[in-house]
Amino acid sequence: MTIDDEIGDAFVRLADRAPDPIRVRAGLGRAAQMHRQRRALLAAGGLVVAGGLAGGGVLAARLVLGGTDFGPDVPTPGNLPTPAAAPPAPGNSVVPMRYRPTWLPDGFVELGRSTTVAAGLDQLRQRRAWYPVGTTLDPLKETPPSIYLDLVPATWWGIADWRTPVRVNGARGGLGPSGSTPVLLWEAGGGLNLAVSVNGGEDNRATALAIGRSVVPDGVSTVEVALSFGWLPALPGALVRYETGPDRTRLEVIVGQFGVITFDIDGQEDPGVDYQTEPVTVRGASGRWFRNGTAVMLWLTLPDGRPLVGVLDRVPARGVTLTDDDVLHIVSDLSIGPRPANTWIGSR
Amino acid sequence: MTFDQFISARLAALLRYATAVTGDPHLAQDVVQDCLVRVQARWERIAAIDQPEAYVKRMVLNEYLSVRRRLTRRAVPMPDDAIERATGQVDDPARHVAARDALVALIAALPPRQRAVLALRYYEGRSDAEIAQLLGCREATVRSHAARALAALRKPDTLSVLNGG
Repeated sequence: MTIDDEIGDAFVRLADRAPDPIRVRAGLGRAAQMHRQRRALLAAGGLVVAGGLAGGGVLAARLVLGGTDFGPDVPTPGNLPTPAAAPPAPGNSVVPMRYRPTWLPDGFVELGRSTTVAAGLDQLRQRRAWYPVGTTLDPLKETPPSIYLDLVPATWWGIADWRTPVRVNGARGGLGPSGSTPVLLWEAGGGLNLAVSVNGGEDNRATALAIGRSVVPDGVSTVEVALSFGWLPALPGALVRYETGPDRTRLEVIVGQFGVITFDIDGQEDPGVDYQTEPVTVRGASGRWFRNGTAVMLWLTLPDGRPLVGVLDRVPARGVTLTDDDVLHIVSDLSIGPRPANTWIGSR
Repeated sequence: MTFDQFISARLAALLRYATAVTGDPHLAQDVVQDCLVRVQARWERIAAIDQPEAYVKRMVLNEYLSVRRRLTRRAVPMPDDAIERATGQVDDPARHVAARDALVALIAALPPRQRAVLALRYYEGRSDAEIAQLLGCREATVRSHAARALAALRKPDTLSVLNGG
């Protein structure tokens, strides 16, 4: 066998590790619904916020700064309101967001927040996401207009990877790669880096830098979720992650970068028609579940009418296998609080 | 062909392709799923294209290589057991198997564009000109990526063993 044959053979064996199409198809239904809901919210949010800011006129999201003159490290004058503390609903879990921008391009509103529930800073990962108000996302665009502010471990993304050295709020940073999706990365201290990515437009490096230089500590804004785990098996290397947005609230366990146990609440999701689901009763609620050797998917309507959807890998971590009883145990012990108000969704 | 028919017929192949390109089944699932959501929304238009599957594969490739994706998902491609096998002291017959596994692990650990170039060349059977078109770069860049990737794969415990060394 030639070297070329060996490499070809290795790729075939790599492809043999491909995920189960059944699980992917299940996720596709969920993702498509989330996509439709986000589009609907963007359209609806556009009417409300554009009316408030521009007297009912059409407000186009603009990424106004371009060019390559990145200028001195001067804080960007703010154009966003200071967040107000919002007490969580009783029984809900809350994690404060550590940073916020004080300036964003006109027309962008916040639609998503996520955070890990980390014991140490080295495991903290937070994201805030803004999208243009009144804009319907084009499904065929590779990078629909969006702005992300990420807080990540410094070991994840190193400054050295970035092409153009810059100073951001007195800290060492880098800007790059140039092109349609600029990313600004800078040191936040405590072994963490902050990152701003601006997706869409020709060259938005200066926009990313302006956003970055407006970022200040937050601690008032929060991610609030109505779910928390009661019982979980010991999962080496696992982290709990909260995510909330217009379409649902998510509680998940991630191992590495990937969700292995995921629960969504307050979405609008039904069992896919393609699945041979079976009835299941848990927590006093009737529902359906689908089980195979790699995953368990579960759809429940809670006694108060709220939908709960779970997707659990059979092998969520190395050396750990979830039985049906384990799955039911996890679901039974979930703590479920009231739906969060999340008044920040769709606002600046 | 409806979207459901396309998925029924081609999803498994798309996932295999994405796994070869990304080197990571979890990431492949994520990328394919994201792309298919967009495909589904515009299926009528895409189905009218001569080769819809080729179009979707290109979307998968672009999505995987986008900076947004890289920031969202950090690839951790090398499984621990493959590393252990690649570095462990084993008997000769097992050593050959270990070397094969090590080669897969080395491919999975390549930088994204280098692995994509090799996957398109060795798994998809694409020419350098076709790969250049898919990646939006020059053929010389493709050859450079391929040369660097192949050099990285030429480690003493892998290809030398496969060659009987």
